[in-house]
Amino acid sequence: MPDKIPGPPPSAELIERLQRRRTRLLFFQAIVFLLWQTTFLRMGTLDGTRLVDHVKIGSYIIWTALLLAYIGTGGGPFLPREVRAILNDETTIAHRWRGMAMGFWAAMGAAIGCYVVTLFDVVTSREVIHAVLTAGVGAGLLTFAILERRAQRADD
Amino acid sequence: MTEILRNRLRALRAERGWTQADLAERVGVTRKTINTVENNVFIPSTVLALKLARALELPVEEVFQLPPGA
Repeated sequence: MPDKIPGPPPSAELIERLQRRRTRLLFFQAIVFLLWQTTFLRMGTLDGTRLVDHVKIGSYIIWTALLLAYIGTGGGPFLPREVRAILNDETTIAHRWRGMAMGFWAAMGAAIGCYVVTLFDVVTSREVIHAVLTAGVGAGLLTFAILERRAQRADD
Repeated sequence: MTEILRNRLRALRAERGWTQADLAERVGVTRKTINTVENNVFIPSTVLALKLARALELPVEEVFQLPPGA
C-alpha cells in the first residue's frame, strides 16, 4: 500500500491559535476543577446511597481521569497528527513532565497530610483517595498551564 | 547545577528578518519553543539544535555555544 501523501504543513497562525486556546482551556479546567472541590468539603454526607451521590462521585472520577489523560498526552485527540505533533513539541513535553512531577509531590503531600489527620480524626478511604487525586491532578494541571502561559508571552 | 547553553538565535533570526513564528514554521515547532530557547529558558535537544542550525544554514556551533569554562 503506498504511503499517504503528506499535506502542506500547518500554518504558524493555526498552531499559535490552537496553542493559546489550549492554554486558556488548561487554566480554566484547573481553576474550575479546584473550585469544584469546595462542594466536596462536606463529603461525609456523600454516603453513596443516593442517586445524586453516585452522579457526583462518578462525574468527579470521570473528570479526574480525563484531566489526567490530558496531562499525560497533551490532549488534542481529534486534531490531525501533524498539528498534534507540533503542539506537543519539546517545550510542551518538558512542561508536561514538570507538571507531572509537581503533581506527584502534591499528591505525596496530600497523602502525608491525610495520614496525620487520621491520628486525630476518622477519615474514610474515599476521602483520602479524593484528596490525593485532587492534589495531584490540580497541581499538575496548574503547573502545566502556568509554564505554557509563561513560555507563550510574545517576544517578537 | 544549572546548565547553560548560549545561543545567537535571536540575532541570526533578526539578520534574516524572520519572526519567531517564521523560524518555528521552518523547523516544525511552536513559536513558544523558539521564544524559550532564545531566552535561555529551555535548552533544546540535539535534534532540535541541528534543525535550527539547518534552517539558518549555519553549522550548529555558530548558533549554540557552551559558555567559557563550562
